[in-house]
Amino acid sequence: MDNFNLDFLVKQKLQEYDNLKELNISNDWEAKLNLKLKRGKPVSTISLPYSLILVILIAINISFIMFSIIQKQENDSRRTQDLKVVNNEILISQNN
Amino acid sequence: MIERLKSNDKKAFDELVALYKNSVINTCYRFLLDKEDAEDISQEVFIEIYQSIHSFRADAKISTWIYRITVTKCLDEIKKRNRKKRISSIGKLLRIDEIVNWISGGDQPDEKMKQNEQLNEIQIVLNTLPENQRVAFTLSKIDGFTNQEIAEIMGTTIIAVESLIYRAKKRVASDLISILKNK
Repeated sequence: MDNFNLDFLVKQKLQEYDNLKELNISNDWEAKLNLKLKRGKPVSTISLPYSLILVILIAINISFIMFSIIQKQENDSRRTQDLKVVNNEILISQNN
Repeated sequence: MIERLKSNDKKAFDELVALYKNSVINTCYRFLLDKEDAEDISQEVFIEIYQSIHSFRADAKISTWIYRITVTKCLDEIKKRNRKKRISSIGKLLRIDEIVNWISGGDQPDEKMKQNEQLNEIQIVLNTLPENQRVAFTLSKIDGFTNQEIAEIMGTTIIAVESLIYRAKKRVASDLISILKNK
């Protein structure tokens, strides 16, 4: 594209923005405003699904952490028991 | 009128709405380039006016105060859109977009951006402008706003506004050239 065409296109784009027509306001605009006024401040609902997914991910993460803690505790107690058994066996063999 | 508004006179509020409705909606439209969003945000502007009219000081012009709220709301909405776009791209990366769409039961966050194909390039360019340049440039394109009024709304001087508009125009043109070149 040569410079002349480019300049023309830029001017055209800017003109489109300059010539934006006034909006034809929807008929129910005022009714919606009055409804919102009665309800109070609007609450954003679009970020809700993302928050929901975040909460689910956090819950899954917590359950993994809890699971690994419980498993570690079980392993630890099993290992101490094994150690006790081995220790006892050593003591018995030493006594013999 | 302000005294009536401060005493929560609904009739006075309705008069104010009738007086500024058109210009507020069209100002929002210039910033957001989307009819639905412009109507939605303009309603929020009037709710804000209704709720915080007590904090309005009579030494300023009510129109300046109203447009200041309008500009702030529009900029907040633009920031929200950009945030949604960022979250959406993360969602696409993690492939959770479909789940999100299913839960929200509707449009993708950046769907509205695609709707206004005709003004897409100008919207992209405006999004890259620094906030104060964008405000000055957009307000200068609305009929009836003088540089003096823009300066009052932005809380700055006329010279600063002129400089902001000049720099914005220069940047918009050069950014448009690079976008159109790559097309």
